[in-house]
Amino acid sequence: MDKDIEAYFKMEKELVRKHRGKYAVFYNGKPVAIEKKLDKALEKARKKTGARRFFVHPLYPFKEQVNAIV
Amino acid sequence: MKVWNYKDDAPVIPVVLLGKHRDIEELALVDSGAKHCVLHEDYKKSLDLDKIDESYTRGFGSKRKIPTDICILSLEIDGIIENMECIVIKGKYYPDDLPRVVLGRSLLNKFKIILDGRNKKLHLEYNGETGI
Repeated sequence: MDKDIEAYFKMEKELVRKHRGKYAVFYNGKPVAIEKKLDKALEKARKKTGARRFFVHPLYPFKEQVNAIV
Repeated sequence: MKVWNYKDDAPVIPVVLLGKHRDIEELALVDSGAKHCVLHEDYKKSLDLDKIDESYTRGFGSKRKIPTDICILSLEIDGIIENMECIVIKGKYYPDDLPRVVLGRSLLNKFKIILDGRNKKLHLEYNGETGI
């Protein structure tokens, strides 16, 4: 997962600019699916890789997410 | 004892949410002020979690109580698997830009956790015995 997290933060700015609000699915340090619906993104990722475990993150700036009071 | 660095000044840790047919890895916000673990509805659906009950909760930017589902979630932190009840909040009540997984005391109380804010590190120990 560390590889995917690292890849996500390297690409976050660009991904958020292009796909804000969608879900990004990463596998082996690369984005393999970006979709509005999480289910659809995961299914696309499974078809592409054959795997069942993926790193997932909604495309909003991480700083904004953790600045919120839950 | 496992140690993670804060990200953007926040205590978040990588977790794996174990589903029936797929698993989701995500960064979860550690929130000792939250009684329960909280999950966005999309994750419940994708993990195919069974609802065991319904309830109402406050928070998440709403002045009113909001309806929630309660599910049993299996969650893995650095190889340790724990099952616990979690609150699932529907997408329409969930502010878009909030973390999708929040770890509250229903999980955190099973660990010894130190928030070392000065050094921006989170230390976590399982049962005081098994280092994770």
